[in-house]
Amino acid sequence: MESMEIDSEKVHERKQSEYNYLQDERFEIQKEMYRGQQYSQIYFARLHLMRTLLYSLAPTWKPHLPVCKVLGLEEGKECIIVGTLFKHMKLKPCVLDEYSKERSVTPLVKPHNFMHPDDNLILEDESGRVKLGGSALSPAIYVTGVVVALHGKETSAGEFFVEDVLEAGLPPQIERPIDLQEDKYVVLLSGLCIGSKSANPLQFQLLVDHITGHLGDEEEQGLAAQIVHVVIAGNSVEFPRKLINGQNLASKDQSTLYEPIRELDIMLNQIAAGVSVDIMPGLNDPANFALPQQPLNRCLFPGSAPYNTFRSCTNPHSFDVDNIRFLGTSGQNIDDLDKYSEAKSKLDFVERTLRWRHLAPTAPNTLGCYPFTDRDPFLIETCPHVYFVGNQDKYDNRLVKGSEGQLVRLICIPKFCETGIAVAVNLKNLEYHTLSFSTQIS
Amino acid sequence: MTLTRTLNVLDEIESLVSDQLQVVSYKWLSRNFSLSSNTAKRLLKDFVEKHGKGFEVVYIVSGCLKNRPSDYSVKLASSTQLPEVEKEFNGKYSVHIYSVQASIPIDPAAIWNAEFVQAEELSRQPSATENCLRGNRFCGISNSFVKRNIEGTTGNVTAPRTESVRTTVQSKSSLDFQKGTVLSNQGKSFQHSSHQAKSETNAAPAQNQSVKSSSDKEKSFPVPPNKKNGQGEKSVTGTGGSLKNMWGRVPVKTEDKSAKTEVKNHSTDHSVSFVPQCSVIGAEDQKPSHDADKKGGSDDENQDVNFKRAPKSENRKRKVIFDFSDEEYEDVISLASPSSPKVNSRTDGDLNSEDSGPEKPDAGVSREIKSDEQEVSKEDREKTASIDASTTLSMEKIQAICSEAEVNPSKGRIAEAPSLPKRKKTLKTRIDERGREVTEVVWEETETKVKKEEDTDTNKKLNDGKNANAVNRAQKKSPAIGNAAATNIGGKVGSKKGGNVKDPKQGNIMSFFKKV
Repeated sequence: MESMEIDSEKVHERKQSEYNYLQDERFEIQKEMYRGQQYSQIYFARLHLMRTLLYSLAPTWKPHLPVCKVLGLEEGKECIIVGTLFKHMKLKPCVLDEYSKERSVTPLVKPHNFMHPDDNLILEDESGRVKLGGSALSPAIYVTGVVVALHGKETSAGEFFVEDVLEAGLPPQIERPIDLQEDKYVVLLSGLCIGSKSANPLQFQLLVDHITGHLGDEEEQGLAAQIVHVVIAGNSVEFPRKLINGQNLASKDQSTLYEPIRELDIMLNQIAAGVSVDIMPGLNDPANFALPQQPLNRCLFPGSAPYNTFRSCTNPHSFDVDNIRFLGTSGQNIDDLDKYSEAKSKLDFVERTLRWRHLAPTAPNTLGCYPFTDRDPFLIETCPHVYFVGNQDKYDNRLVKGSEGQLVRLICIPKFCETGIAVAVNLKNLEYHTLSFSTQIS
Repeated sequence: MTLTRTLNVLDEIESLVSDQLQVVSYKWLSRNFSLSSNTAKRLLKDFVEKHGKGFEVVYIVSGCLKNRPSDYSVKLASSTQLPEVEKEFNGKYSVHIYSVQASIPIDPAAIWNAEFVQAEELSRQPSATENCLRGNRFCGISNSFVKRNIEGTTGNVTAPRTESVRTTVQSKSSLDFQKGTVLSNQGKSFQHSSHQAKSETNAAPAQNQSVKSSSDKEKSFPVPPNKKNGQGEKSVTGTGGSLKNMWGRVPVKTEDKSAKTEVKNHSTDHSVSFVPQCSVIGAEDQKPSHDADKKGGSDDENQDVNFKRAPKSENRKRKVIFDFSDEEYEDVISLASPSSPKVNSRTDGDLNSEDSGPEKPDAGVSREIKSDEQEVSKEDREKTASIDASTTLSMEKIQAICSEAEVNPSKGRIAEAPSLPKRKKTLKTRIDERGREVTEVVWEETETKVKKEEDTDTNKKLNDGKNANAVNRAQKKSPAIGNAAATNIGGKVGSKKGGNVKDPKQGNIMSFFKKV
């Protein structure tokens, strides 16, 4: 019947590539046991690991200076100290204030920047803390939780006058394979917000149709066949908040609650039937709140889960495609940095986290985090080739070069529901381009 | 594609668009007529050429924009917008027809609706079915590495409790439960449709609100009772109640719960599924929670149950039980609500004694026992039942009593006890004072008046219990769990026979106790 028809049409074969996500294991918390511990242990692990690293870097930076602990500071003596920064912020909301405010149904997070000219930095290690002065270290850039090495001396006022700062810098990077002959693309998107009023399902459907090869003529479908992987970086659904108020749901409300997930599942089904897809949880998704967010339960996707191409992943998520390392989050880390520091563009924040070698330095101070006891999973140990952050306001990207020849493509993925833009990264050369979909008809 | 078929399809498109005002997109067309997407697009093009006037066409323009040559852009455009949109693109771009409709809707998403409805239907098909949604077969790209695992991967095989809960929610009215074990049912139901799985997942949290239908209770029984706790009071209750039924000997006359239990016991007399020690204990564990729940239970229900607990056999059972479990009654007493049930039970006792008079010589004794039991809550009885479990003597007695329990010929059950007073169970449906539809099992005998009084007071739960009991009784006894399963099934059948319409929203907690 139709077979004749199909034979006369050219059907492209989708390109394949190797995929693994072994590094995600450190973001899983199934093996962790909560014994009532507090966050000091994660800070200690962070300090310990970073300090070892900085101690190894200090001799090359300022070889003539001694390194000492905070308690070992002497007045007037120039030295290097390593510790965790703490930013004392006047406007930082106290947790009790937040609690006493109306705990309403819609806790709309208004991105509010809590900076104030009077903010000051303090360096802390396990022996003590010291206030930092001087203009080399700008409180506007740094946030609590960053581990740095400082060169300076103690003043008579008891402050530590900072002359220079050493950050950990980009971690070492595995060489990118240079033998990729063909163009292969990884599509990144985030912020689908299915179920919200602003989401346009037709837009997402167009994207799905493009990726799976329905849209366009044969040549375009050939281009789509070069897409080897799709990553959905958070905020895929948005539930009507008014329903989640602690009351039992009436049965008619129950359907409004699961409709978005069902729609998402059907769309994911369409994608998974054609190409490998990862879905990460975001702030609004039905996953846990504290980082690292655990994978969305496969039960939520009964249509898509049977596919071997469908993967539910943690947030943050790290994976390799054809030995190109990708690392990304759904945006909570950068949004939190945005609240407590300032930068000209979001990419500055992204670059800073890379240079500080820590995905989310503000965790657990202002960003929810699991109290790990023996490690800090957010430390970036190997430099990724592509570092993406989802749910940002606009699309942006930058190529960052490291001191040892590392090359990282930083990408801010915009919210798809607002912009209709997804990002495609070419594995061959880390080039990027956007896929944009518009449904303005009238 | 042959010309005739093309023409047929074109005609169909025309009728769909003009008569049914449906939006026909190329994707919808391809799925509906099993065409590849590219063919569907061509067809739409032919259609527009042929019937172009009178329909609105939405075009899709894809390619690279002039101002951003490296970025791929896809835009939808109506026929009026098309020239302008085309100008934005440079170089090679493609124009296809996205959809044909009678008029362009204001909200672009409306164009997507028909397609989505189609996709939804395809996704609802049983998970094992391969369809064009799942196989993605009409696109221009093939991927041989995609594998779809059909064997129940959708459903996470979690603790049986969860599954059983889901299944109960799913098919209250279906007989699926009755096939095989609970677990295997769950497996099947999972594979039946992803939709099911989803709603199950969603329904699970809502379990607490779901009605305790008899099916629920019966389903919950095989699941280790402790697991049920997490599911909410209702399920817990159900298990507990069912266990009580197993023993069938729990004294009825105390509080609401006790009343219910009695009803259940009554019905399970025959079955005498000797619940294994462990499961009984499990039920016991749940008793406290039941108690807490039950306390809120309606008094009228309790009272009704008390009334129902007339049969002599029950009295006799209670007698036996009391000997063994005094301490539990103390606990129970504190939880039970005081006055009215007592009154009822007393009346019950009278009635019961009347009933039992001709039947059994112990009537008088049983009446006394009944009044003693007023303090005892259902929990106690359940505990008692468990204690009884360990006593073979009591079991034997129970068995004997069960065999004497009435049979409900109207339900078509086997009359197990020839020596039973002639009682006939019939069902009456009425609306009680709370507006709930209550199906009552009415015992009709020579002492009809007495029975009727009892029956009228019975609430829905009681009915359930009775139904279950009757069914249970009708079942032949089998060892422990097997029996439990049987009674569950039996109870379910019974409830179906009885036409007991349980309104899920009415949350019949007490019914859990009656059914095994």
